[in-house]
Parts: sequence; C-alpha cells; structure tokens
Amino acid sequence: MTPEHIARPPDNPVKQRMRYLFMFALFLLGGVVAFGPSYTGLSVEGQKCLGLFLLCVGLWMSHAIPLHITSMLVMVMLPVTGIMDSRTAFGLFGNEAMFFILGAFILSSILIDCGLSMRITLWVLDKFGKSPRKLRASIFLMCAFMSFWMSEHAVAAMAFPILLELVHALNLEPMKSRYAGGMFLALSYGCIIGGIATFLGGARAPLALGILLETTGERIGFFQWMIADLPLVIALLGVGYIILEVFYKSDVKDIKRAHNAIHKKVLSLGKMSRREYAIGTVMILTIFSWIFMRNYIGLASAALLAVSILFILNLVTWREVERGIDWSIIIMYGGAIALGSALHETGAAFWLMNSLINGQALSTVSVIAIGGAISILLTESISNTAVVAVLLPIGLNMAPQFGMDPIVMTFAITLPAGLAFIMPMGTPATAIAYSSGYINRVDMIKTGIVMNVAAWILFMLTVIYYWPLLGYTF
Amino acid sequence: MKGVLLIISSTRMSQNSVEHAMRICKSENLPLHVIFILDSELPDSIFDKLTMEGYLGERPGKIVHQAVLQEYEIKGRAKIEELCNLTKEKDLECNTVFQKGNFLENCRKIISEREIKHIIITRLKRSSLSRFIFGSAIDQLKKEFPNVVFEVFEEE
Repeated sequence: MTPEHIARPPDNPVKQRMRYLFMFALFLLGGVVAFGPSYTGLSVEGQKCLGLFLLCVGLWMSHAIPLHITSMLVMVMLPVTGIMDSRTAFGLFGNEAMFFILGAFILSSILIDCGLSMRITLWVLDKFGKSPRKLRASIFLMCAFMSFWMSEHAVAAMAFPILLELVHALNLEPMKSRYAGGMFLALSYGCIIGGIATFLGGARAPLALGILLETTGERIGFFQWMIADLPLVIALLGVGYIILEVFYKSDVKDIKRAHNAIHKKVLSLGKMSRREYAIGTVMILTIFSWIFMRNYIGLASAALLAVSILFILNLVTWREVERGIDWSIIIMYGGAIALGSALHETGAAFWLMNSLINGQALSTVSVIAIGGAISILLTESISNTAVVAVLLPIGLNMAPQFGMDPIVMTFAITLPAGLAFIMPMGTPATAIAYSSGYINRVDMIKTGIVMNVAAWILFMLTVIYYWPLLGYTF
Repeated sequence: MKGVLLIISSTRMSQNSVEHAMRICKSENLPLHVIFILDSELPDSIFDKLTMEGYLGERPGKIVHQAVLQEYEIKGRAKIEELCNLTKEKDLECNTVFQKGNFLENCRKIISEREIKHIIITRLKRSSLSRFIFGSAIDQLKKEFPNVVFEVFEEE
C-alpha cells in the first residue's frame, strides 16, 4: 500500500464544524485587528500586518490548514491588503536561506537513497553495539551524529525499521520491555538533540537565517552556529544518556541475536559502491566549503553546486530527488520570510514588542530565559518551523531595545524550538518512536518533562557562561 | 449469530476486556468471535507529520508507514494466536478475523455482517470533554446499533 492510496477516514462532522468555526473566528479576529479602530503608534500598514500576523499565528498553531497553505495565504494577503507590493512580496521567495535548505534537503535525500547513511549506521552498530548498554548508546549517538548532517526526521525514518528488526531479533515484548522502550527513545532523543547542532538537522535553522537576513542584514556562518551550540548538544547527549540508563534499565542480558541480525545486514550490503564513494566525497567537500569557504562561496551556492555536480556525474536522477523531499517547504518558507519582513518594515513587530514589554525593565538574560521557555513550550504543540516563524520577527525587533546582538536572539529562539521531548506526537521523530508500540505514553511524557527542564537549564547555562566567551554581547 | 464479539485493534487493547469476554463465553457456553482491526490512523498521522512538518517526501514517509503497519500486523497476528490458544485451554469455541483499515468502518461492517448482539470493545483513554468535542467512535456505533449490547473497557 502506498501512502497516496491510504483511505482516509471520513472527518468527524463535529470536528469539521469546529474547524470551520475556529477558522471563521480567526479570520474575524484578524479582520477586526487589521481594519478596526486604529492603535496609537501603529501605521495603517502596520495594523493590517498585525491582523495578518494574528491570523497566521492561529492557523500555524492550530494546523487548521497545512502550514504551507497558511504561508500561501500570506503571499496573497500582503499585496491584496496593500501591506507590501507584490513584486517585493514574491521577491522574498528568492531568499538565500530557502535555496540553502533546498540544496541541503536534496543532498540529505540522496545520502539516504544511495544507502550510504544506512551503511554508516549499520557499521557503527555492528562495531560498537556489542553489549545491551553499548548497543543502545550506539543507537542514541549514531542518530544524533547523523542528524548533524541530514534532516533529523529523515534519520528517524531511516533508523526506525532497523530498530524494529533488533527488537524482533531479541524477542522483546511491547510495553513490557524497558530496554526496547529505551531503544526507541534513544532514536527519538538522539535525532532531536543532534538536529539542533547544525543548519542541516531541520528546516527551522535555515528559516531563522532567512528571517535574520531579511530583517537585519546579518548572517550566521555554518561553523559559527555549530560552535555556539556544540557544548549544549554534548551536555544534552550526556543528560539523555543518563535518563535512558536510569528510567529504562536494561532487562536484556544477551544481545547476540540482535548483533547477528545487524552483522547479517552489513554483509548483505556488500562492498561500498563507486556511487556511494562519490556521493560521500561530494558531501564531505560541501561541508568543508560551508565551514571554511564561506567568504568565497555562500551556503546556498555551495549546496546547489554540490547537487549540480552529483547530476553532472550522473549519480542521481531527478525522480529520486523528487520522492525524497516535500516541495511545499518552498511555499512555507517564502510566506514565513515575507511575513517576518513585512512585520519589521511596517513597524508592527516593534509595536507588538513594545506592547508586550509594556515598559517593564527586564534584564537581557531574563528576556532570553523567557524567550527560550516560550519556544520550548510552543514547540511541543506546534511545528518547530512555525515557532520560529511566529517568535523570531518579534524577537529580532526586541533585541536592539535590550542592547542584544540579533544573532543571540536568533539562537535564543531557534535552538530551544528544536527541543520537543514530551508529547508523543510533538515532533516527527518522537511520533515515529511512539508508533512502534514499545513506549508507554505516560513514561514518555515523564522522561520528556525531565529532558525539557534539563534542556532549558543547560541552554541557560550555555547562554550565561559560554556565549560571552565567543564574544556575544547581551 | 450467537456469541460474543471481542473487538481489539492496534490502537485499542485491554487485557481486562479479553478476560471478561472469555468469562461470559464460558459461563453462558457461547462461542467467542475475535476481530483484530489493524487501524492505519496512527501510521497515517505520522506520514502526515513527516511530510507536513518534516518536509520529507513520499519515500521516507512510505518507509515508516510500511514499517509501522508491518509491525502492527505482526503484533495483531500474535495477539490473535495468543487468544486462540487461551480459548482452547478453556474449551471455548473461537473464530478469529484479521482486518485492515479504519476502526469505525470495520466495526460497522462486522456488526452488520455477523448480526452480533453482544460486543466487548476497548476505547481510547480520553477526557469526556475531548469525546464531547471530537466525538467518539464507540458512541457513534452505539447510536447506529441500538439493539446491540456494548460493554466498553478503557485501553491499558
């Protein structure tokens, strides 16, 4: 059965009616704010933009319509309501960050398709997973490391079938084996933690780059990002490992059968093909250029050049690439970046920020602490990309008021936005792990809360003690 | 059709409901009909999550979707076998059916086709408010089949 042939259950009529009612209320609220009584200190365009922003926040948070359709609505509403002319609005689709993520996603999809990512994962598990503890730690660290270089969701999707084979080989019982539950959580936690390490782990970081660039003209380099959050990632990996060991103690003594299953798989892959070598080399060169050649070739150009080389060498087909990426990301990005830019240009973000602060004298550390906490809480219920699209435009307008470097604000909102550990359906990686049926929902929520609290504390320690060493002012 | 129908699925499972169904069949000497429904709701929602939020295309989503469905099928068939063995131990007559698809649609079909009058079913753990707002598959079934006796257990 292919997903496009899945028969969808008919929508519950009550649910459908609630959805229409909710959307009607949102449009009404947006309309009243946009075209109702004017607000002191806010321009007419700013007021319209504020109304549109409220509408989008509601739609992005509720998932009443797909995320990218909300963005499409933004692209329509900006010129129609006179907030921005259509040339400027649609011109924002050409943002560098959008082409970077496109190139990065294409590379990630090729890496999976050629089998190189699977080979590396199996090889590591075969080499290091020789005891129950080591096997689970290998899964955890491998998922994290792979998520440094490709989408965390793609890593979870790739590793999931391997884990199912392992639990079958070990004859572990769903909901009864703590070790099995811990294995699937290791996959989820590994992907989530690894996903914040670089720009490549998820779509939110490049979106943040795009909004930052359009709003302030500032850029963040690949290496700069990595250096800023690597201690946080390492500390989170440590906490994650301890939590898995404490809450999911191993009830398995011998993993010989699982190890045999992995070894058999490694043997069945045979020798590394020329195609895998070539793709691996291009990938390494691309990462090298992202880190060391940012002054000569931009992030997006390097990514697209790598993709072009793979096509020139005839190592991939467009059909393969097409099936690995969801192209709606272009629309989602274009809309989110355009809205962020409009909020800044019309002064709506500045006005909103002033209204939220309302003259309160907050320290910069408190602003980061509150921003990070809001970001972590929001990401449990809405897409992490939407969290960035909603919070960052306001945050970037807030930064100068507190004498903060806008790059610090970008980190402060984007990094926590990727840390959704609690809800079983909070992010694709946890949803995949939960769907295995080996994790108890209550246990997942309990350990997720511990992880989220630890993540926030570690994030704040990074902000207070580590970022000043890198020269960030706040 | 005589007998008790026990409906279990990949998303709704309760050991208490199984024990209760067997107890009734044993005391009233009735056959037990067990239906396992492989509900695709969860794999479908993960596929949606991967494409809508993970921005991954058809292929990665399909890999996970198929892996989850296959896993549920293995678990479902194992559960059915386990129930069959249990009923045999208790000298009960047992008929088993394995169905794939939407929970509500399959329940409707089975109840109509088999003219069952007594059903033991497990429902998802949710708040009453959630049931009121978003509806409940079991409440819907009760409404559609007023002459059938429903005994409802909560998932464990």
